Amino acid sequence: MTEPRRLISAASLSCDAAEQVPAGRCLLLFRDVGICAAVDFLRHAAGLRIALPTDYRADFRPMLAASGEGILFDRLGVALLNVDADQARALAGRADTRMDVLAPEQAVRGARLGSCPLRAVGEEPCRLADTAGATWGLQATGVLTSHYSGRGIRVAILDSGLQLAHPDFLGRAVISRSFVPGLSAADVNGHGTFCAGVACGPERPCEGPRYGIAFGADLYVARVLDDDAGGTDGNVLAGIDWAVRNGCAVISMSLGSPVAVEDSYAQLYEQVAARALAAGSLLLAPAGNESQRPELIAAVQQPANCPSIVAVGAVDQTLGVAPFSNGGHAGSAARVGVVAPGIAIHSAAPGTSRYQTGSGTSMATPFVAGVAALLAEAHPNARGAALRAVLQQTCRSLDAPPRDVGAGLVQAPP
Amino acid sequence: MIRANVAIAVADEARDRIFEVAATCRALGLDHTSTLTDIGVLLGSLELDNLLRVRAVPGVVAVEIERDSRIKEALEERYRHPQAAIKVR
Repeated sequence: MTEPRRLISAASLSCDAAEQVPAGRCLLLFRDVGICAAVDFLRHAAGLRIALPTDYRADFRPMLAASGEGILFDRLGVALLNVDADQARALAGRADTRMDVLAPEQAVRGARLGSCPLRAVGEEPCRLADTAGATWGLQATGVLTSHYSGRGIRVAILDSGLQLAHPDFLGRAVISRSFVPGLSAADVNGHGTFCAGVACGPERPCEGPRYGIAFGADLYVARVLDDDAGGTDGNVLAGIDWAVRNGCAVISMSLGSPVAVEDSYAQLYEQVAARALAAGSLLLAPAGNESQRPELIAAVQQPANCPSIVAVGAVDQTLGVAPFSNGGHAGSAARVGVVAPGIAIHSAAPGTSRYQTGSGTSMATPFVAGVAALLAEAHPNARGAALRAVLQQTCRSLDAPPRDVGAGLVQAPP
Repeated sequence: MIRANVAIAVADEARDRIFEVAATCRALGLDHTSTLTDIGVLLGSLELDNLLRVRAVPGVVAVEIERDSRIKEALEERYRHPQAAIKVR
């Protein structure tokens, strides 16, 4: 007989927290559970009546008017439930790593509607700041409360290499390769070390606050940029090919070249990105830093403008769009996919200084890579397009046009 | 003659014979340097006069002249301090 499915991850919800699961409407995220198993569990564990969105031709909300009812959004892997106190306890008492509580519905809905907890209506926006323990970006993306580290996930950083002797990477298993003729993978420019630090830096750096996200991930460093941080399509494509061949679930490439608003994306890059997705590798690229908001919003650069690549925009410490962050335009299909912290970002640097602060969508892109690695660990079957969907579905909505922020601010799994 | 570095995307249905496609492109003047089998791309250089002929090779879906990728940073001091950021127009 099959072991009954359990709900609410013990790893992500403490006993104390489980007891605090409120009666009322809540959202549950299923990590890796088939639709039939999910419905069966919800029915048997808590006596819930479960429907699917396809059961309704119009509005499903009346269905949830009574407690004991729920809707399973099978394509999203999310159930919206209306539970009473007994049912909430019944669900909370059965732990399983394949299912997880997201939040009571009102909290999630509030974020989706764009209300920012940092900013009450009529108030000046709050400003996040680095603390002694962690950078503001880690706070904003929920990394500090995540139970995941990216363990077992391969993350590729295509950039100017990595200072392999940096004390924060000593003892770390790093696979590196240079695709720039005549140059090793050792980073002189600093851009690659910075990006690798944000995506996969240590949990406890030698100095200063924590700045890295997926400290447990396997780091693959492909050098595709030279000492002046310039490179060619050939280098980049060779790096992508290498990363795909090595089974990297996440490929972060903080590079690109500006395009005009009327330019379409490069068919070749789109083809490559689609193939990478099909092979289980998610490509991330910066939207670009050519804007001068509010007067000028430059178009999403290439290759981020390809539909199969996640274009990453940048936000500041108030979660407002960074002045330089490129965005979408009417008549152009290129859009920002998600945003991440991109101003005053602290990370690793080569040389004696060891650390530096930088701003740009280049800095935001490895943020997304790190969070994507945590999500990939949390959702073992989500790779390629499925990982992209999870990344976007779990974003926190922001009070800004979708063309500028896409699905919103990326969030680490709890 | 102007010669340029190019990247050639091979169609999905031709990926299992990518080396044949490469041979055909070489016969049309491609100085073939790399075959990226996992993403189905050929790298090399080509005289621009031959670009359209290579594009017409069965199994080729795109030929792109190589562009430089370059990071453009926004590392200015103004983004590090709120007071300075206000100066941004």
